[in-house]
Amino acid sequence: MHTLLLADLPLEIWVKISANLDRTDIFSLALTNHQFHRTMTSDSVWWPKIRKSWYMSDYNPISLVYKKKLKSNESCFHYFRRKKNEDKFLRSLITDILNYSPFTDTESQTKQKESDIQSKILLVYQNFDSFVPCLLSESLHITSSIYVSSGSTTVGNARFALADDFIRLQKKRNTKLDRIYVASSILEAGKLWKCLNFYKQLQMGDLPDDLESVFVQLSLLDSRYYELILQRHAVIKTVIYNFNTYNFEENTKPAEKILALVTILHRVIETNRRRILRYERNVSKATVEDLSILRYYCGDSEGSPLVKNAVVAKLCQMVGLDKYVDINEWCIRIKDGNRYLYLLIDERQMYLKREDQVPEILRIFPMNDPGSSMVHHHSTNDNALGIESRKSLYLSKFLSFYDGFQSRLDDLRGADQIIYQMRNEEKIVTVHRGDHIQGQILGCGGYVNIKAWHVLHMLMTNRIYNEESSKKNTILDFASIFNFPILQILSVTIPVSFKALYLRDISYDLKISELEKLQEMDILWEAEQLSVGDVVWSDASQARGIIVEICDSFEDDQQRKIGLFTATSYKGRNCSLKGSPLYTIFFGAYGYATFSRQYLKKDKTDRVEGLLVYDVVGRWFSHYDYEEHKFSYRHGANL
Amino acid sequence: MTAERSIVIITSDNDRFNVERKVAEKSLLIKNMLKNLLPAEGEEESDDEDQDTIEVPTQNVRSAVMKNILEWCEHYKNTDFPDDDQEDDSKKSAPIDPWDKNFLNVDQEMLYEIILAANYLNIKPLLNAGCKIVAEMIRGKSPEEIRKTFNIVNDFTPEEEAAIRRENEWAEDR
Repeated sequence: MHTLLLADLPLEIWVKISANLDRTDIFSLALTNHQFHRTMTSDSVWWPKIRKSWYMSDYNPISLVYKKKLKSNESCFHYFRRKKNEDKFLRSLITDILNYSPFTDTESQTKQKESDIQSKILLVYQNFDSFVPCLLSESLHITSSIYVSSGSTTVGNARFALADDFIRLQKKRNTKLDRIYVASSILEAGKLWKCLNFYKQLQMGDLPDDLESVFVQLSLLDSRYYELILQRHAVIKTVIYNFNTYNFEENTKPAEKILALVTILHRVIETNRRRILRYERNVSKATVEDLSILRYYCGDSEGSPLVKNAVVAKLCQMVGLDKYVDINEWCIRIKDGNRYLYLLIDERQMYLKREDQVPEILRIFPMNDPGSSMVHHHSTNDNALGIESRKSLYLSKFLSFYDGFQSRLDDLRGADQIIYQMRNEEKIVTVHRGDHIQGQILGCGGYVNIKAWHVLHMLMTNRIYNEESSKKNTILDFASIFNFPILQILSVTIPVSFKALYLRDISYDLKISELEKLQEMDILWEAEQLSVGDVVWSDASQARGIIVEICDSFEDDQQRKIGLFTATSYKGRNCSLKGSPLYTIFFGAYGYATFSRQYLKKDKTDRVEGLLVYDVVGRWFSHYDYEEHKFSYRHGANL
Repeated sequence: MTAERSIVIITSDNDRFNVERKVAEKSLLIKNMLKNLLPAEGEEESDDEDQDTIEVPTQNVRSAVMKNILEWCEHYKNTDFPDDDQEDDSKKSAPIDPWDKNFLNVDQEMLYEIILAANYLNIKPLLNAGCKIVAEMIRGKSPEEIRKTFNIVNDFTPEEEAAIRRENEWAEDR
């Protein structure tokens, strides 16, 4: 009888076996003979691996479709190889950026390196989507790792990072904070570029199907866009699935179906909301993060009425009910036979009203701009007009979306309050935010980069970035706008200032008149010397942070700004503020604050996971040293 | 209520195994088959069949293999495996259960037959364990070692082999 051999196993089994193998093992198998070579380079074996590694490259959020972008005649195996090489290119680019050192290189070498880096970065932006997965894994967006482990086939199961996952991932990422910083800078800049391109598209009349898509593009400003976009996918798919499998009676009116749809939507979002630990309940002031449509989907924010209405309109369109629905900033108008009903949704519930119950001002349809309308029930004659009005509506919504809101992290402060107060005649600064410290990072970290938005806004409204300039695609303009963080790394001033910081004489001459004050100080100073990179606990703000800067005083506002710090702040040894140096602490979600010594305790608990989510930490430090209980300075080796 | 009818699995070599329903239903194939054969509670039983036993023919599995498979099913008869195979991904990296590992410590041919049978009978956890065992046998070996372990005859010319090696060089470094 014929004996069964390994090679006799069918392809479907090999797909399962190879899922447990690294690619080097797969190659070893492929090298054994012709048959194995065929099996091991087949699409069935490589397709799951592609999907797992480069899902985000090929995912289209507008159409909600994942489709692998194979070139003609390209097998999955070759695609895998191509993508691997692209990722390698990106990784080496990051290494180049970090190795850029104007101190040791000659001027011409420096110039050469600089132009090399600039042109490579441009290439990355031009093919941005294909680099996204690698950028995500290099910047170790904490949730992206979670997505991978929770299974690529079920985007619907994507979940937020919880405390355990967090701690597990913590040690993995702590060795290369500076790489994380560079990768996330490229990622952020690339997203801005995408946003700008979308605006350009709008201007040229290439409109998306609905307002929801416009809001999704605006969420590119959110640093957690790539995690949350999958959450949106899950919500939409779940709602549509539940709606389509719902047993409606034969003669159910469209209006009732729409109500069912909205109810399902809110139930799904409510589930998400419960899953997130919402630590921010004490924050009353809305921030831009609360506006982001993706955060509405994931349950992090309530969403503005317009955002909610846009989501409903999109869903109605997907289930073919759009001809009964129209929306504006306040309500949803539903056509019910020969009358209209109005649906208003607030944080807690929804209200269905008759026309006479709704103030006229809320009943302005179509929304806002004359002639504009969400849905396409224009007759063919005024089609052109319809497109024109939709375009102006989308453009105006796009440009005004983030107006008047501040981000949680921008302007050196979060949505939290920074309170300046005098205590014992000393000026101290504290940060207040709810009663939990790192909680909201676990729930929904990240922020909307509103500063970047202002830059973008300026570009868009002043038409600096119009068709003409984009045709030229001048590297210089582009780089100076989008590579700001990268340029900062390349810039000479930061290492110099840090050098100054490190080489300074650590002991301060304390010229303090009151004796008791002096004693108090001495005790603290002798107890522990604090230096840049130390993790400290601040009693005043009940938070853990990293010392990123030590300076003599706040004579000048400029000096407080992180990274712009110059050696001149060490001009003298006299401390003007009661003789004590001031420490600027980075508190992660809480932003920055400056304290004098007595409000700080060195923290040796190694509980730095909350700080490690912030890519920006990599701007200053290369890794967290568990032996020394402190962050190590990026350029430490050079000092 | 009718009395529980016994289930007899008939193998390709016409051996008969009497099994508990719970054990047999570890195989989703048999489970679905029984669902169709056994009337739901309260329904009239069709009377054209033998009343006492249900025969389940499994043409692809020989008796020696079936014996092993049933041993596995017996061991896990009270374990509920999530039948949603979508969340499998997170378990893929999980190590093999020690009992499974020991259970699958058989000669290569038997291992392949168990894998094939598990695939045919649709017993996912057993299939996954079997695939992991095979993967473990392959992992870290050179092509030459793999050929030796699995009796694979090299039919590449040296030129072909060198060409493939060159083609795969990119995989070496990360």
